[in-house]
Amino acid sequence: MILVNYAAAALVFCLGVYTVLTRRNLVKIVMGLSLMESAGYVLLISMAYRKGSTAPVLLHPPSGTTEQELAHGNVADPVLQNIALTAVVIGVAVTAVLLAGVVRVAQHYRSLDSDDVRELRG
Amino acid sequence: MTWFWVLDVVCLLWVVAGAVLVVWLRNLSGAVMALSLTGMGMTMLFVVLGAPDVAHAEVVVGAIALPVLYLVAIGKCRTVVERDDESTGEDRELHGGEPVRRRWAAVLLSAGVFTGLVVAFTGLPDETEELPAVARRAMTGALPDFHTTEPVSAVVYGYRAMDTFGETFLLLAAVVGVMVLTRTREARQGFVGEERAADEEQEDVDHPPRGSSSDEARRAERVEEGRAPEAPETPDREGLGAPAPETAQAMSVVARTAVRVALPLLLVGGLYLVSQGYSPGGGFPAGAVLLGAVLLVHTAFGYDRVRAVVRPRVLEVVEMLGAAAIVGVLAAGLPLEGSFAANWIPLAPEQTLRSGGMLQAFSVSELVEVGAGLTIVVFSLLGMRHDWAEDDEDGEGDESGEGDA
Repeated sequence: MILVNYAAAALVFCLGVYTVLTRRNLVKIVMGLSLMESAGYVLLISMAYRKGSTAPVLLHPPSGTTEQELAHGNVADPVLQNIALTAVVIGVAVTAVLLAGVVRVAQHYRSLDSDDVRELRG
Repeated sequence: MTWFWVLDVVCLLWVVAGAVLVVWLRNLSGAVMALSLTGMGMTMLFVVLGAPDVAHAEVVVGAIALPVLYLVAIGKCRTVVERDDESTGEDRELHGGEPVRRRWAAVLLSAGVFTGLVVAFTGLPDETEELPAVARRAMTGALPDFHTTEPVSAVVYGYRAMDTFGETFLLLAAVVGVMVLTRTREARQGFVGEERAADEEQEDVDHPPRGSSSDEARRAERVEEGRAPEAPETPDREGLGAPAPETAQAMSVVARTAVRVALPLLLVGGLYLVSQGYSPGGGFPAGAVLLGAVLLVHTAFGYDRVRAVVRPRVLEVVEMLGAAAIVGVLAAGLPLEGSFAANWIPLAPEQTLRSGGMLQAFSVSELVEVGAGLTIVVFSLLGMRHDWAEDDEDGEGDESGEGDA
């Protein structure tokens, strides 16, 4: 059943690929990259889920269990969640660099259209 | 089909619908809002899937950091587009029907990637498999090793501290990258007086400085309309019922009051995330919350209110102090405990402010680093000058004049 989540992640990733390939607006292309990043987060968190699991937090365990039982019990994978957590923050920083570049390109070529940015083609 | 899967599928549909809107909407600002919508959907999904830490980070990133960055960047580009409207009339291509290239090739390729990914994902572990050994190790080790009830923080700031260290400095590198990209051109100085040697000739070519003349024009316009030529000292001095637009560089009294109410709540929430290290949260999302607080004050009260803090001299020092603190906390483990990023702070009882030992110190340093870094990034973009290439003689945007940029 978690395959639905994996498929949704693949779908969002491909929407990002489609945006990057077809759009000519540079900001839109960066948005496509953001979508591809988001797909990565969804995939990681879906992979961390286990059937009927709780969050990997030992604070206030569900009634009837102790912290130790919970630590050995049915929880989501904290390592994958950690990877997604850092990826989210790094994603913002990388997006900022891309956008700063886009603004510079727009100022230089006076256009957001990627077709106008072809100095290297001669 | 249990309620869990119903919630899961609803959140997935929300995320996918947001993503489709991002692709489909022509209006860039609308697409940014759709991206934010996707972020909210993902936040809900992460809560459903039992990942509160990631949900914290995603909600502040999806709701504050990303939309602000995109909107500021779009604002900066839109200025350029408007100039294009006047001079070359190429606006149709930028505002009208969004041009699409390689449609069928892209559909084929995306569909191919989708098929490949789905086939590959069927081989991934599904929800019925056992937890991997590292995950079990993190779950069972968090309490004895760090006296913390929050295994994800134990992984972020403890077991994988080295990786987090690297990622933090990647963030720092990105901040430096944005600062370099957004910096205005500097006059070259200090060699042999070359910056003055050609002043006379330069004046023939240069246009007068952009800022001063437009400021003067605006002031003259104000006087002509019979309004106060200068803004009041603080926005709150603006009389109620004064004719709009208010002269203060701030929003209306409604927005200012709303921010006065919301700001303390937001600050307490952000500090709670980092101080209660034994519950989900931590320095990453809290830093993004601080950015949100600064932006709220800036938007509602104008730049004057945040000028004391939001200056390169202050923020860059704070940023570097945060980085130095991270290096210090991690490197202190080397002489004291024998390895980099080892826990050298005595462990306090669990579920107290100091529980977690080194994790808390790392997390607080991370708050400083991320908060200052993201603020620098946003305000660098906001302060970007129009450093574009000059016009050709016929007024067309130049394709060949890249030499002067």
